[in-house]
Amino acid sequence: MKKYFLAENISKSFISELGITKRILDNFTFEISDEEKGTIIGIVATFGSGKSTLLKILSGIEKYDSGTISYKEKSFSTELSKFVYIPKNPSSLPWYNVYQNVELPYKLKKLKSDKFKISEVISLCGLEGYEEHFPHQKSKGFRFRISLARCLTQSPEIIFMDEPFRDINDETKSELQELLVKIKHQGITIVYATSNINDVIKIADSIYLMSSNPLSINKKFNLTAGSEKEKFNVVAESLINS
Amino acid sequence: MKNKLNLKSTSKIFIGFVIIISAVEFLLPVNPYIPKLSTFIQSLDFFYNNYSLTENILISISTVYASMFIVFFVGKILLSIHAVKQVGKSYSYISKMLANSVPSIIIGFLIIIWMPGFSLSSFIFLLTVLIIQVNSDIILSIEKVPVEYYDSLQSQIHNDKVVKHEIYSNGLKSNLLGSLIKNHKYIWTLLIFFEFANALHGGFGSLVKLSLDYWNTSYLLTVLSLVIIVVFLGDYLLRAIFNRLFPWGEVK
Repeated sequence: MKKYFLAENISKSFISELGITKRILDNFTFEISDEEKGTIIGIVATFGSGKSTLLKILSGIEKYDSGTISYKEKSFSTELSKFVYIPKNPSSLPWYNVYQNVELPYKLKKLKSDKFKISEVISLCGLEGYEEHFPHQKSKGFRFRISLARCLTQSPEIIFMDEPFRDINDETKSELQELLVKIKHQGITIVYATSNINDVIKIADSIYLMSSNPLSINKKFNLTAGSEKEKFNVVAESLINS
Repeated sequence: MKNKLNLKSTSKIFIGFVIIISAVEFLLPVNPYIPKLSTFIQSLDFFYNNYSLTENILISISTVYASMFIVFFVGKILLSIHAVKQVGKSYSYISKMLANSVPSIIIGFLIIIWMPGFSLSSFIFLLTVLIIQVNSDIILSIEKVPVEYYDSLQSQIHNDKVVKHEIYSNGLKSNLLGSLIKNHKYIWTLLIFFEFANALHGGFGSLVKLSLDYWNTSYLLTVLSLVIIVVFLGDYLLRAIFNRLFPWGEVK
């Protein structure tokens, strides 16, 4: 099977202020095959296990101690713009309105804004009519839409999301889950890390259950079809049998 | 908006003020402690004719707002520098220590000793105090910038300097003006004391000294009332500018 994205033998440790070394990742390997392109991949791990660090490494914004990351079997460092990271707390900038936030990557890269693309992602993310609004006036779910729209303007291949639905009410969560499904149908792969399996099981095509200290893959489930309940049963049965 | 003065409460204060002034004017007998409005006007006239009231008011106002204006631009430069060069732990510690542990009165005292008779000494004093306070506030703001802003932009731009410049220079401008507004009343108080101690060069503080020399309560209350009105109007104006420029921001 051809590897679309491969992080191999990644190690990462931190030294705390007390001088204690904490290993977050130790020869960790994670891959996305060609067949998994355009799917939603859930990573379920406990709080503080290093999910955020893992996602930051995979999206190219955090350095790692050893290992290699490749994209289409070439080094991923030359293709960093294809991977984006959406942090767990809203990252829309309060000093810009919705449109300016979405347009920002063009401005910072000193590129001419693609107005068609911007209006397309604004419409896809349900922000139409709110272009002049400022994020501080809005809910966390709304600010997540802004962050998502901003990263979609750059036509990413993989979006790494860190607990995006934390502290969001169930109604908004369902709307945002539908939005993620729409995005995956555009061929974009979503890697979704969470500590709450309920957040991801409804929409995930595969789920990794992780162990911590250091973070490692405990089990992988393929859930390409079925209702939320059926997917739950697959995971539960597999866990009981193991 | 959190920083806007409440119109209802301002009207209540104004009505209360008018009632008190009328009561003092018409009900109280002439006394040496609480001046009537007519005495207040006479005091103003006295200062205007004998002690260049307008000039003294303008000296204090220009000292405060010119120093704030300059420190705003110094702060912008500091933000740009911090966007390129990370704030070191020792630099951060020294800046906060200077702002929190060195009493401004000592700085003022040193300036009076070092620059006796220098007409711009009050301006240099305020500039020094403001730079120390604002620099410390800038460092605190940088430390409190949500890491999500950086992570999210960095994953799209992959250019540390550009991302930090965007967040610090554009995002923290509101904190810079907020810091100046936070220190506005404080520097007015310091200036009055400084001008009082260094009365040769005029300003509100020199009028306070004059009132005390005459030992005249009406004069003193007239000068203090003028100071309060000027500071209140200045604060109102600064907050209005803040709300206009940074509608998302908050003066902490």
